[in-house]
Amino acid sequence: MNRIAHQLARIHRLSVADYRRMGELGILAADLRTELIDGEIIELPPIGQPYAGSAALIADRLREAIEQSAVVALHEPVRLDDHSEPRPDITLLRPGIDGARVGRAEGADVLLLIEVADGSLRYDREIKLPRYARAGIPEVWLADLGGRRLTIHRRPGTHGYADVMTPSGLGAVPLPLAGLQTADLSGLF
Amino acid sequence: MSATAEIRARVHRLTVDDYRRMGALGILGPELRTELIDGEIMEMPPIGHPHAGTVKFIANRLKEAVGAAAIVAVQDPVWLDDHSEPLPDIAVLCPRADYYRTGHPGPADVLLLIEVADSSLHYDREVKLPRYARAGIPEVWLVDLGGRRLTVHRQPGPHGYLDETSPDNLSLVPVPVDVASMVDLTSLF
Repeated sequence: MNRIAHQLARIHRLSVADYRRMGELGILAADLRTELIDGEIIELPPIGQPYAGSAALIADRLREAIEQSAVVALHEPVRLDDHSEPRPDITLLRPGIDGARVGRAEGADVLLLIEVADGSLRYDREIKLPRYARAGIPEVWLADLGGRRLTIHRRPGTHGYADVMTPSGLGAVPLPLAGLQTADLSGLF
Repeated sequence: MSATAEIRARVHRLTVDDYRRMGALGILGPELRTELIDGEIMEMPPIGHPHAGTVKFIANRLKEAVGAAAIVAVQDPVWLDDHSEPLPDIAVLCPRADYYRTGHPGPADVLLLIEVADSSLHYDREVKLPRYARAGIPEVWLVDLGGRRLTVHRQPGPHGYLDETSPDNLSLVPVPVDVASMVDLTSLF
């Protein structure tokens, strides 16, 4: 439906509980990749290259860097509030989180969230980033494949992240962990 | 594409079957009045009494005028295609022995749809009317309560209704049923 139509009418906002039930009942096909944003079901583009390779590379490098200090999850959903459950590309979750919870993570479980943008930069920056900030996700990295740039977003607030910076190099990107580990993302772009 | 436009392009479109299952399984509660438009669930606003009274007025006058020549339904689902099942205010339907107990009516069953618009005129005109036309609904009446005007739309095409008229005489409005009928809508406004 076009934009005018949307301004004139009220879209029914599904809750995360509704959305999960639809998945369980097969109303949303098991092979359909979707996320829930503000109560609307958004289809995710199929995982193609170079996007898939980039996400896997980042996840691997993170695992090497952190050992047991946190859990690295790839393409798993994170529940932000009653009506939003996006599917970020990579999440660094607090250690001690059990396997079942990895697929059902809450905002409070997330130490770092990373989105790989391959053509979806606007969507990630303008739709997802503000919602991550509002949910209090402490740190978000945006890996812009097209622009070959990594940006780091910290200090979440109601209007977005207060701090945005670009690391000077990709060889030792600081991770938000007590052990001050860094991730080697050379070759990402 | 703007971020908002990107979301719209990626919204998952439910089928009428999905939507009905959600209703049957309680994901859409019985207290919710919704319709499915292009695969998106739209909430209907609460019904004010001028609107409700006008619908009763027209429905009852119509039933007197058409007798057994048609079935008159009020705010019941009419499916248009795989992704749309609106709740038109009044539907004048082909007679059926089971009165549509075994299935909601579709475009081939509809002789006339009527939308009564108070604040929803823009929505009815911009969103519903074109979709009714695309589905091949032969005739639609739009009752503009605010402007005190009845418009009759005929000749559905892919881009809308080709013919739009306003009857001069509300006491003799032709009703498109098999046996030529007129309905007296004097004091509609």
